[in-house]
Amino acid sequence: MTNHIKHFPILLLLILCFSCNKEKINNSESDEFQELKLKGHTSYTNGNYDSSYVYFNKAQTIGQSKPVEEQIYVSLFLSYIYNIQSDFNGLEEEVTNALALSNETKYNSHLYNFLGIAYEEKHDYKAAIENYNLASKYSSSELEILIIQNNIAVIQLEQKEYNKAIETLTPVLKSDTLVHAKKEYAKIIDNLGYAYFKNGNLEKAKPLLYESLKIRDSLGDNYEKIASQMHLSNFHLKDNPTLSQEFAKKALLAATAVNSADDKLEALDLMIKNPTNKEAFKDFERYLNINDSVTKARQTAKNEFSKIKYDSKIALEKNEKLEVEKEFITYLFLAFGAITILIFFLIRSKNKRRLQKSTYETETRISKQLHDELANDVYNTMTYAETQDLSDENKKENFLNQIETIYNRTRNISLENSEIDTGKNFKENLSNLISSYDTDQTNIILKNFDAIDWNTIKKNTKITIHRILQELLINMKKHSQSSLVVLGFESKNKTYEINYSDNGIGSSDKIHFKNGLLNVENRIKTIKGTFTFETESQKGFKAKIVFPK
Amino acid sequence: MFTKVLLAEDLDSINIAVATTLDEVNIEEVEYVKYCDDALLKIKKGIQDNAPYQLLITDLSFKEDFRPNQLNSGEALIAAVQEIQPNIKIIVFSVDEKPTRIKSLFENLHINAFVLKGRNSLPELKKAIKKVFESNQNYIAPNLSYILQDKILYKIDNYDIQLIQQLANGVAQDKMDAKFKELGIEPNSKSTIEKRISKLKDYFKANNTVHLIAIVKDLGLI
Repeated sequence: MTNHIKHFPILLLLILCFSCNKEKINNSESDEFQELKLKGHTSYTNGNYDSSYVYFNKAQTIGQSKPVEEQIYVSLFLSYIYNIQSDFNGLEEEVTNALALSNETKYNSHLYNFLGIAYEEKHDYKAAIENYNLASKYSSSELEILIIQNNIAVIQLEQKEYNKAIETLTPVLKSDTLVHAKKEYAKIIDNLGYAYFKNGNLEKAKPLLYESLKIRDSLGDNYEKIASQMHLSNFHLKDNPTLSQEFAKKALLAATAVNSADDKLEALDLMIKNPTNKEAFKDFERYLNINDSVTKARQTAKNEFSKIKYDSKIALEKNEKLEVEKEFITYLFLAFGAITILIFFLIRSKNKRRLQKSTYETETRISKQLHDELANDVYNTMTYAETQDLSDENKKENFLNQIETIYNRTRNISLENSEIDTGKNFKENLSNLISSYDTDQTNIILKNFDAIDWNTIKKNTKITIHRILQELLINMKKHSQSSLVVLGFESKNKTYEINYSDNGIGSSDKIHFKNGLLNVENRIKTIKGTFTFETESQKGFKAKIVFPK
Repeated sequence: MFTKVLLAEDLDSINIAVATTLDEVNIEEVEYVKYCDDALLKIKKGIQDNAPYQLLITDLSFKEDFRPNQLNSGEALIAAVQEIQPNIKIIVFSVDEKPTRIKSLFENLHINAFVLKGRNSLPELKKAIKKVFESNQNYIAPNLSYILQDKILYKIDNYDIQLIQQLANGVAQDKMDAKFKELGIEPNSKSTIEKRISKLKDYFKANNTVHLIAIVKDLGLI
């Protein structure tokens, strides 16, 4: 159990160097990851290793996108906790995972040192020494390298290879670094002295063991003193049992002071073995008591730690499951979005095509209109001007009249295709349109003109209806010779109806009529309405426009 | 007669024609501009020089070209001019005969006259200038005057249709009030019904009640 004590310095050293690191990181960042790290660190320094484990474990879970150094930093703290909890399998796994992330960080020496500790505890001494050597190779601090050498020597002591231990430790003692590291120096000479003692070289062993105790006494560190006192108790067991017993008792006191059960057991063991001990039986009873409670406490602690480890693992799995669900939902949304966009573009391109078609139709219609209504007249007028003497007042008047007709037609074409105000003036505009065809010859009668609430009707529909009525009225004026026109407006359940009827000459040629109204039919389709008409020679013309509300 | 007139018109040929006309009515000083922005500048200058323009004759649409302008239509120009010189007389000279647009010019921008470009536009313009100079009355060509009068369209409703329907059913005109009372249709006084029937005869150009029924039936209203 002394091993444990011997390893302790290297751990303290590392924590110290991490604390300064942490400070820097916390200043620049303050996300959840850093917060968890801070909490884990606080719990760790307060000795609440269980909660520290939970914090660091969580930090490890959420920190998978963090820089490798940050992740390994967390791994290192988890490793400390595994080491303290004597979970060496966990320790090995943690460190191996950390090294898999990267073996190029500045924490390399620490990681390999942990591996060394883990293998040592599992009595795989060869692997332990290999890893200590690696740790030493990656370390940039002289003191660290010395401590690692000490750790290697401890293994050699464990394996009873005292000569090798002496070989390992002797060059270490020559280092100047140890002058300022009294604690480490005391540890190393203690171990060296113990090696000499076990090797039978009592001459060399004694001064080293005593010097170590002296230094440790001066440092006032009970924890460190225990090892020296027990080594001396061992040393004197044969040549001076009384002194040995004294050292053993001192060791027991120190162990009680720092409340180290293992050390108490070892001290009691020494006391029981001592031939001068008259109360060996009592001490043995005490030993058993302590051993029982230690075993029990250790088991409880182990169980608790296992439970925490298990809970963390479950939480992690749950998290992963959630993560998967989240991912699934994200993909679902993405797919949905993609489909929506696709549909949007499909509809848009369809509308665009429809618009292009209707634009094209309008263009050809206007072109035809220009050709039919203007080109001929302009040509006639041109010929007239070419052939007739325009200085004659009558001919000039005729010429001007022809030009005026052309001018008026141009204006009409423009008016027919001009923009339509679809705002709140729409109804008034419509009324104006109708009234412009209401002449002395033709009475236009509106039936229930207020039946349609134009404010609720779409812009497109308004334009279409305006154009259709305009076209019907133009046709009426051009061809029908009507004296009466009735426009009836009606509001049905889901539709509006406009009924047109006149008393004009009508037509017996339905096909010809239909061609003239083709435009109207095309227009009404765009607003999902219907257009039907009936006409007979001398019986006027009736049309019904139906469009949805 | 007016002594200082501004003409805003972007077509040179029209400018020449108008110049002749203005010459004929003896206007001393006539300025021509092709852009609304320039027109506004001239008006401002006139005020500054203490020799304001008395009349503005303007087109409504101005072709856009390479020059960017603040004011791009006759309406915008009129509104801007009226803000700095409310007493100036304004005649609009345009090819646009959309009734609502013309109506809005008189009602919202309070122009003094509207002359439609056409065969008789120059004599019309002369008349308009004289009228605007001599009186505060607005001027508009007779063939467009319907725009300013709120022309009453012939409007009928279901009541009229019911009335004709009952006549077609053989109900005599003097029994109609009793019939309407029986059907619960209002108004049903003799005089109202009489007035309605004569109005309908008028609308449908019918010589008598029988004629009216025939016409309405032919039109498919009943």
